[in-house]
Amino acid sequence: MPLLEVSGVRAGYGSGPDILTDVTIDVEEGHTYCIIGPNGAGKSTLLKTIAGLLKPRDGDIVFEGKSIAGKRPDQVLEAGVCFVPQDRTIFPGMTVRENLVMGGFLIRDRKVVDERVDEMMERFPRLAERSTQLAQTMSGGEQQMLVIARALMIRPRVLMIDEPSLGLAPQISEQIFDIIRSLNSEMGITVLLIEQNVKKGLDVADWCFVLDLGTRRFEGAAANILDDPRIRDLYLGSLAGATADKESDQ
Amino acid sequence: MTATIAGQLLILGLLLGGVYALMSSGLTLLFGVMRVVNLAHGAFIVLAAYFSFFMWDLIGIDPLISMLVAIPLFFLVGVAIYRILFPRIEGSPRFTEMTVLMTFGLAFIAEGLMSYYFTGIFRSASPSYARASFSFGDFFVPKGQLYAALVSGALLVALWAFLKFTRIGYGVRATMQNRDAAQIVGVDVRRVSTISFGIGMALAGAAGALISFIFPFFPARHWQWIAILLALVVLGGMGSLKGAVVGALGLAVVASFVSHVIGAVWAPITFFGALFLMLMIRPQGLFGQKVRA
Repeated sequence: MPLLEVSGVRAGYGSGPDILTDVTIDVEEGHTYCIIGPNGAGKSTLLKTIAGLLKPRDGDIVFEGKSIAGKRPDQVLEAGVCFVPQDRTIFPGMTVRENLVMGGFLIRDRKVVDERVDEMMERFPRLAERSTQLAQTMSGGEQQMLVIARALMIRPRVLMIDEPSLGLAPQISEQIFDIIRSLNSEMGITVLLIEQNVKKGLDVADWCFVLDLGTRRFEGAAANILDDPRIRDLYLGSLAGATADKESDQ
Repeated sequence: MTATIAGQLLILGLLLGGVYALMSSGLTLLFGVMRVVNLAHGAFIVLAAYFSFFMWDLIGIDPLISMLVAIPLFFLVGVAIYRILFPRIEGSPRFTEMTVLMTFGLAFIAEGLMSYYFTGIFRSASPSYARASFSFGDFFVPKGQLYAALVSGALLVALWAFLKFTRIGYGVRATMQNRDAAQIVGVDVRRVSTISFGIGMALAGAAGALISFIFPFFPARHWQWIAILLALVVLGGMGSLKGAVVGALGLAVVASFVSHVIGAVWAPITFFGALFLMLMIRPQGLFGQKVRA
């Protein structure tokens, strides 16, 4: 049985049109998945819907055999599915340590929270160095690291990360990708990743979903999906070019 | 101006500023947590003042005692108002603007009902301390204002401790700083908003109890107060409690000097003049954060 099953999900914002028209994906435990597709395909919307930030208008989302569709974000998180959105949502006026403490908001035992904060400080020495600094004074890469560490506080089974390398210099995003690899290899977390830098994203992942116009068009092993002529022609022609442009911009 | 007069003005300004700080704390809390501009805050303060007045006038209960009932009562009223009115506009891209209109209407309704039932005549609770004063050497300290300022200070410290040390307080602060991030880490933002609205109203309830014996009031008086409170909240930085307190204490002192040197009618101008200056020099206010448009 898949760990997370999204079936026939339709969703959109407010009273606006459907962004997701009909998405079905199965996520198996222990793998890293990359979601790719052109702008406006509904990649972020899909993750937001799974995270409970958007209510699906139709369809079901099942995690560990239980439906989490339409649940509040805190309930989805409590179940073990954690979302890291793309705009590096830190608490700017709190220290790095306080940000991590907030990551453990759902853990009522303060002792456990403190233990895990120490654990994170050990895992990310850069954060330990900055522990009493206000989060807003950190660089983009450090903030991204903080947001991931904060997400790890509740030890999620599934971690969904939206565009972690957005706006980061290449060496910095390389460090972030190393962290994402270790989430899977060292901590056994199932990862769902959206990445603008398609080659990088596929490099980290072992399976890939291709989204377009609000539905899942294809899926396949990440290693050779770029060789698939359908995908190359339909979606990646323009995207791969755009990615190359972005890289040369940085 | 002699040093004695200056000292006296400083004392009176600080006492008044303490009460203003309490009055504006609820307003800035609501804006900080949920981007609600509550134009009815002043009207609810007046309503609470009537509650205290009638408790005093009809049953003889001291406002400082009846406050213990007013605070939880207004908390519950706040929760009820929030649950009934706000779900309809939540999630609207024009949420803040809509709260302005909605609470403006609420203020009118509250004022209308109060005028109808309580009439427009000036009221004031008159416990013995309201007209008495202490003297320290050359200075005199009106008892009523001193008690009001002390209670305000105590409530503000309690509010600060709640925000700083309790789990819900952490949730409230997190929501104030970044609503999305708060949701991401599992804060039930709607519950936090409901509780915050309740606390905002409880603060209005407390402020009304203090107002009842330091200022004469009538239903329409709330327009004057909400104008001053909004000026204080914007000046301190919308959503910043520290800003509201610093702004209230600072401006009340300046206003008390203006009122002595230029004339009492000019005192309110202090608040609006400072507001204009602040908006020109530092639009986000003393301790406010710049907001992306």
